[in-house]
Amino acid sequence: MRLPVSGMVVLTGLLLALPATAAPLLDPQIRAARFEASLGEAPAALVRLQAARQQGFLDHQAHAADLLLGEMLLQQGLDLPAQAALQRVGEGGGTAADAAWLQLGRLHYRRGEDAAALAAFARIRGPLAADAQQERLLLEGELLLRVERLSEAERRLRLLVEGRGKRSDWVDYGRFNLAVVLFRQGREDEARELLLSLSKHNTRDRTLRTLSDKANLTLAYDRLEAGDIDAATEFFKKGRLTGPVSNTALMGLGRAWAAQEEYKKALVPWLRLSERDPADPLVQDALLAVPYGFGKLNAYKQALQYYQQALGVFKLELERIGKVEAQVDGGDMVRALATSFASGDVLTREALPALPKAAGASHLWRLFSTHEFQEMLRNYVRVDRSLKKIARWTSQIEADDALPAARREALLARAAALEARSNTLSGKLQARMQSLARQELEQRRKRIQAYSDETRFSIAQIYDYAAKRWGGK
Amino acid sequence: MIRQFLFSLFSLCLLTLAASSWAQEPAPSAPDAGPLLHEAGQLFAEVQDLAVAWEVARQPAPRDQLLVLLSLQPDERFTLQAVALEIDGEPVAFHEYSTAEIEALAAGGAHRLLLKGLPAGRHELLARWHGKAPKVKKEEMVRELRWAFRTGEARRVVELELSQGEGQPFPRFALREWH
Repeated sequence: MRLPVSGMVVLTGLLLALPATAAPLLDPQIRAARFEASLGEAPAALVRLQAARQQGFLDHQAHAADLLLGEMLLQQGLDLPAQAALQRVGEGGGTAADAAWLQLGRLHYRRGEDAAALAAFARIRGPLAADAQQERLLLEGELLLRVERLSEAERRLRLLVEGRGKRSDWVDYGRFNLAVVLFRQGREDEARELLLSLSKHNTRDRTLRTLSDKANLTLAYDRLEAGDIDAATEFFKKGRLTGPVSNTALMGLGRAWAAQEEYKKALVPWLRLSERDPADPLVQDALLAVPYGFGKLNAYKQALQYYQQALGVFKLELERIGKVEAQVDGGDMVRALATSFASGDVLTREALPALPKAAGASHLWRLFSTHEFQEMLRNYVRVDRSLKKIARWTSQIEADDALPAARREALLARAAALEARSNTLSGKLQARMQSLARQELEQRRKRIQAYSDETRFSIAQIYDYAAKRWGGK
Repeated sequence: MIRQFLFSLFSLCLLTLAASSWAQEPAPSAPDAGPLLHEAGQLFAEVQDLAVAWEVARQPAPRDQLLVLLSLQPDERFTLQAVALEIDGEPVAFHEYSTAEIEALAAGGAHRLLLKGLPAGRHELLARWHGKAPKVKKEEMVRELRWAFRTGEARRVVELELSQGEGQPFPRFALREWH
């Protein structure tokens, strides 16, 4: 079985939360930055640290200062200067270099710069702290898998899974990704064994439960493709009926029963699925699969009834798409998303219920969960924050009598130029997000229109069949 | 006929299933998002540069600067409550420490107590630590330290240290200059 690379799972949301190993920080100005940051004054601490570094006050401990600077810049979402600071530390060698390469690897990974991420991880020389080493192995394994360097990916993931480190999310995700690598290498028995070990998790831990569902689903499809319908059915049944992959599992379970011509049984999961949010393409599939199942059971009356119901749902769904389009065009989508999105957030399908209705989440979640969209949204939110900062600074600089007039004017001119650029960029980001949302909605509209046409055709055919058989009664 | 039709419909369903549940239809991508995101990254860096430029502009000229920072190592013989600074007999700083601040100091942090521009010449700094010493009769305890220094030639950075004096009845109160 060939698994798509998208079958892999990663923990992108946690990356920046993990501490990197750091050399002892001796200069009190560096320790002052840590002190202020720990008391919730990270932005001010960062500015002071940058000012000290820029004026050469920390040249005697440049690497320690740059490492902290890089970490703090990353936390504030300032990737470009962070990269420059960390690059200086990494290139400088010494005890802080490995921590810098680790941070750079994470940064490039997050930005989708795979080759640069691999190059940064490859420059780590010494042993890392246990957590950091596990994270590094998971990320390296995934990056190597993406470029089809399967045996190297396997080596990294085996080190992670079979290493002496304690059990962690990194290790569990590593086991799943190792199974993906083994499938891709054609070593299906080994892959299945790993997935089986994950599928047995019966815990309240959300991460493990989701992984377990994914493992069961993968095993089910594997068995389905091998023609072992009974085994596939068992794996489909093991998945939760409420988890993030439950819709796929319900559809797959129905498909497994249908392949055995057990349409009565197939209708159970399909009917259940057909009652869920019709914005999900899988639910739309179920709306057509249900009358098909009844047709196979020669229950044409019910088939007709469910086709008509499907037609009604599709009509409603087209109206809902129209409303979401209006929200997108009016700017409500971006505004609603921006107010509920913190810069460190990752929009996953599980996070959607928390989003405001105006965001159109149930129709646009596939778009929202893409890296590009989230980066644009994150930057849009940051631009808005920058505009507020610039406005605040402008009034403070204007009121600062201690500043020499020439310096004050120069600062104000810079602030005005940045404000204008921020406004332009904000507009561009919003327009791009709106355009992507319109494309997504158009795709959905076409799909539902095609489904509606098919449904009408099916209804007409049932009437035609009935007229021929029973003379129109 | 209907069976044939339904079979063809089911084939369509299966095809759709394969697309949505297995391969996943691609969501609209933003192929040219890169330059826009790069532009945003550069803008944020420049906004930050403005904050740094303003911070530098607000500071006294480096050769006139005196920066005083405070650090401590946790010691059950003395609980720090506040620190006061005087320069040439004039009070210039007073800070009362919260529990959170003491914890942050004990974790290896340092507190920027004072950044001041001073006229070139000789000066005297007086640092006064206020706190409690639970093991002595008069629990309130104040310790003082004086330091004479010159400004106008180079920036002066000093750290007021409260450390565990080994083999002594009280912690060690010291001033350390950084170059």
